Order: sequence, then C-alpha cells, then structure tokens
Amino acid sequence: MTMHMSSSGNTGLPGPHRAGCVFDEIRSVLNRPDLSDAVILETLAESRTDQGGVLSPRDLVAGLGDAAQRAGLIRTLLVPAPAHGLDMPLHDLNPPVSIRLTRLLRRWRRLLPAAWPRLKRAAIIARSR
Amino acid sequence: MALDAPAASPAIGRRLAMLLVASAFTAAASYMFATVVQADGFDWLDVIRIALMAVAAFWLAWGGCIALFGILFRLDPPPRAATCPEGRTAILMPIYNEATAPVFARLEAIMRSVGALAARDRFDFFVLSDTTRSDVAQVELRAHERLVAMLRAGGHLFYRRRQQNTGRKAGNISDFLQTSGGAYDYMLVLDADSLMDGDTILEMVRRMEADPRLGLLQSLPRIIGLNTLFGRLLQFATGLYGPYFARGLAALQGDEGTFWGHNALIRTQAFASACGMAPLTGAPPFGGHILSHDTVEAALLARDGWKVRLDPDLTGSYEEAPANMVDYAKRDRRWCQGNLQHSRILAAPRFRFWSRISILQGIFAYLASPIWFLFLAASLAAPLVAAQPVYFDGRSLFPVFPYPQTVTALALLFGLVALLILPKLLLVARALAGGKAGDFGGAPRLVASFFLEILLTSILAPILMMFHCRSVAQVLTGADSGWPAADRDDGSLPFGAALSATWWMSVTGAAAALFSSAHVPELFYWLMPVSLPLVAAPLLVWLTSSVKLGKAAAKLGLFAIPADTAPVAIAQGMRLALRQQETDVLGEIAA
Repeated sequence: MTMHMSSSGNTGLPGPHRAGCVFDEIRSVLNRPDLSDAVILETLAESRTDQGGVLSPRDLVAGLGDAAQRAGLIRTLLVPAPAHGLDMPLHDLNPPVSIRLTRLLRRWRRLLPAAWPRLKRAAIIARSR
Repeated sequence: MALDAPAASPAIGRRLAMLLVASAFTAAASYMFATVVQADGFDWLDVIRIALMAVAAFWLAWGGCIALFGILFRLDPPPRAATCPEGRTAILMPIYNEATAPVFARLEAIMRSVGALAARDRFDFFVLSDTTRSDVAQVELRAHERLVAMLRAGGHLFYRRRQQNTGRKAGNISDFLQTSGGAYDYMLVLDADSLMDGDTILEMVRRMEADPRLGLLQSLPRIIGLNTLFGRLLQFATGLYGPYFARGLAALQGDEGTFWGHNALIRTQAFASACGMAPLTGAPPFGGHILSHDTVEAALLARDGWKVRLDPDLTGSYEEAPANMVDYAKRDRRWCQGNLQHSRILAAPRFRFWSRISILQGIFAYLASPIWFLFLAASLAAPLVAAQPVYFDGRSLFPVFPYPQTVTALALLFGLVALLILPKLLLVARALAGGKAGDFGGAPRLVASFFLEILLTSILAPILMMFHCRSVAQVLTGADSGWPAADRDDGSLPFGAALSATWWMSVTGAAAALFSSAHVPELFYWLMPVSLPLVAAPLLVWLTSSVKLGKAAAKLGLFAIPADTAPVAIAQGMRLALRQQETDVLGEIAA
C-alpha cells in the first residue's frame, strides 16, 4: 500500500471550468499527457504559494505572467508519478519436492511412448516367427 | 517474458581454467598438509583437519585466481548506442530511516549532474521511502518539496512513502514497478549512499540500448568519503585492487554476472516479469522474504535469457561504506543472514549453472570463517589426541624416529600467504610499471601503503573471522537480524562501544592462548598472530575507527586514492548541496 505525499494548504482555486487551457499548458510543460484535469486541479490546490517566485497558482489559473514565469511555476508543482504499473508475477524459488518431480515425471512419460511401441512390435514379430 | 537461450559464452573456457588452477592448488596444499600432519601418526582428527584445510585452500585459490584473471584478461569494449537515448529512465533512491540531509544532498548532486546532459528530459527521479519513523518522514517530505522548488523539478522528481515496508528493499522496488514502472524503459537502482555522475548514467543507458538482450548492467562503485583509519584502508584496497578483481569477476561471469543491489541499470520489463520472488516458506532466518535479493534477481534475469553484465570500466559510480569495524560487522550480519538463506534456493528450478555458483560463492563468503575457526580449534586439539610415537615398529632393531616435516610445513605456509599477497603484489607492481602510482600518492607512498595494508588486514583478519563466526552461529540458531538502519556519521567509535562489541573476542583469544600455553606449548607462538589481535580487539577496533588517525594517514599520503588528488566532482556537488541545506535550515530558524 503506498501513498503519495504532498504538502497541504488549500489556496481556494477556481473550478476546472475557469481554469481553461491551463491544464493543457501544465501537461505540455511537464511533458505529462497522462495527467488528468482532476489531478492537476488537486495539485494546484495543494501546492504552496510561497515558492519564492513571482506567480502563485491562482495567478497561473488567472493567466497572469509571461511564458517563462508560468513555466517556472509549473515546474515547481508536485505532480504525482505516472500511474502505469507493470505486472510482477511471483516465482516460487523453493517449490515442494512433489512439484519439482512433476517436471521430471512428465518428461519420463513423454519419453516412454517412444520406447513402448517398438517393444510391442518386437514381441509380435517374435510370436509370429 | 523469457528469451531464447543465449549463445555459448567465452567465459566457459576461463571458468574451466580457473577450476583447474584452484583444484590443482587445493590438491597440492592438501597433500602437503596431509604429509605434515601424519608425521606424528594419523588419526580421525587429521582427516577433519585435512578436509577443512582443503575447503579453505580452495576458497583462497578461487579468490587469488579472480585477481589473476583480472590482470590477464582485458575485456572487449561493450557496444554502445551513439545517439541520444530513446528510452526513459527512472532513477530510484530507496531509503529507510536514513539521515535525510545527506540523502537529499546526494540526490541533488546527481540531479544537477543529469540536468547538465542534453538528454536530461529522459530521466526522472524517485525517492522511494520505506521510512517507519514519522518524524524522519516529515523531514523527507519537506526536503523533497524544497528540492522540487529549488531545481524546478516538478514532474521529474517524485517522493513516495510506503506505510508498510513489506519485502524491504526488494518490496520497495517491486512496489515502484507495480505503480509506475510501465512508464519507464530502464531503472537505475541506487542506495541511500550512492553517487553517480550524469555522464556515467547516460553511458549505461547507451550500452543498454545497444544490446536489446541486456537485462542488467552493473557498474563498479568506488568507495569514497571515509575519514577513519579503517575507512581509508578500505578505500585504498578497493581503489587499488577492486577494478582488477572486478575485471577478473566479469571475465569469469560473462553474461551471467551478478547484481550488487545498487548503482546498476535494469530493464524494467525484464525485471518485472522475471524477478518477482515469492517469500520462502517457514519463519526467518531461513524463511520469509528473501533478504539478499540482488544475487537472486540476477539469477532470475539470467534464467529468463537476459544478459546480466558487470562493466568495470564504468567510472563515475561511487558509494560510501561502513567507516568502522563494528558497522562493517553489522552490515555483514545482515548480508550473512541473506546469503545463508540462499541455501534454500540453490536448487531453484531452471537457474543457470553459473548463477548457482555465484549463490554458492555468496554462502561460502561467510562459511569460510567458521571453517578457518574450526581448523584452528582442531589444530589445537590435535596434539592432545595424537598417538604416542612408535620408535620400535618390529621391522628393525634400531629405533625409527618420526621424519621431521618442517620444510613441507613452511612451504605450505608460504604458499598460503603467497596466495593472499601475490595478487596484490602483482597489482601494485602493475600500478608502478603502468605509471599509475601517482593516483595513490606516488611510488614510495604506494609501496608503504601496500605493506601497511597487508599488515593491518592481517592483524584485523582474526577479528573479522570472529564477527563472521558469530553471525553464522546466530543465523543457524534462528536469530533474525532484523533490518537496522545504517549509522553513517563520521564513523568514529567511543572505546566503550568498541569494548562492548568485542569483549568476547578478547576472552576467546586469551582462553586460546592460555590453553595452548598449558596443553600445547609447541603451538603457542604459532597461535599468536590470531590470539594477540583477538585479545587486543577492543583497542584495535577503537583505534581503526579513529578519524584523527585516518587524517594523520592522509596527511602522510598513506592509503591515498585517486579522489584525494583529483576530487570527485559529484562528491563536491554533494558537499555543496549539504552546506546549502544547512544554511537554508539556519535561515529558516532565524526567520
């Protein structure tokens, strides 16, 4: 179980309907097309306003500042890590003896038919002679 | 996602050669020892002693051969992609209740170094915290926020904390893979004390991209940043001999190399599909989650047909190490438990032959000490149970005196000592002849450091042997080591701490000396190289942990390493970042 930690402090940002194309701008600057509007909004709401820059998240949403200032602020946002997990199957490295032997047994059974018919045939020929 | 079986490795011939050399030496040593011990008659204890000697000699010969092969074999330059990397890399720093400031200072240094690359956008950084102390976690969180704001690393630096550290470090990495691993082609696994140059990281990615079968690429981390006498000794030994040992190891392992758990680049898809490890049945220390996961992960990758390679030429990879013998023993205790636990997976299905040998080597690294200890104990006991010499065997009228085997005994002793010293001597000679003495303080200081290193390691060897013996005994009796956080301050120890960690060695050493003096006086002086250091263990451990002595050695130019003369840029960056952090904290307090 994991949790992504971020700082608290609601800045009372406007809803997504007022945020306009800021979300796209954030996705573009951070090169994170996977970030949803809801995640960005939450990030903006939780981000601190005292990062030492000239803009605040509210200013960002309001469309204030030039491109460099806006990009600078966007790059201080604590966005979550990409949520793209991989399957990681567990391998049993110490299986019980019965399971270990199953493989051998299967091989043995696969080998047996190769020897069986020849033995049978040999027996029939011997009988007819 | 298993691959087809790889082509026959050129390492097979080298492995056979090494097996032959080590076996020949073992046979010779065992024969000589058998000749010596049967001079006064032959009994069951002699059989045990010869067997113990044979095992120990094989282990020594094996180590000596690795160094020799490092000198003999030059590895081919690996293929590398010339273009900017296409894949994305996650740089992972798993932490567990560590001192936060140095961890984030290291991370900042690595981030700045990677930030200077043209391909910087292909790299993201993850602090994967397993910290259990909430106060430390709060500091980590603040340090993360500060670093993101300072480096404008939003979207590139992430902090994640697990509430339960299930599976420890392996579980931590597994959790990352299962939450974010799919977004990255490669992951660079670091340790809390790792430092890596951006250029080295980029080079590793290029090598990985040039070989689609390469599953794991291990760099050779160099030890830096230690100031105690023991630390400087360790730095010097790993700096001078380490690259050649690693080269010998790489020559033998081929594509079935090993993973040291950090400073390695891994193909995420391969790792996720191959390296999930189910906990072993039963309780710790032999059951539960696999502790020394790295060796097993390397074996699992090789099992699925991925190449696991050690490239010793990858410079710019650093780590810190325990600065004193007690911390070193503490770490060894953890590793010992993990390696002995591997005895249960030695026969795991489909493991490649060399992976099994690597696992066996790991187990033997800790069993060698109890073997030597038993050998010493058996040698002390042997004269007590030896039969009285028979001077008149009935075949002659005249007495037959036992034939003295002093020459054979001395030849065996010198042979064993030579096996320990000769590879090191060859490496020093090579450094002197190759003009590399300057990296180690110049020719006279290099030679002096070499002799001092031999002397100090010989004195400290019985202490390490006893630490290992205790670790093995604790594991075998079912004591779980837990997962203590590494102590990484300046590394010095108060005398009380050294005494409480080693008093039992003094007792053992004194008891052995008294026993030999009373019952086996002919062995008293032979035992002194072991019994004296044991008696003086608290003093030796305390002295070698001294920063003052370490700095004095540095002033004299002893145990010098290349980093002393040409400071490592990334380490300087880390120190700078640490100072800046302290200034910021002081500023906050003042505000």
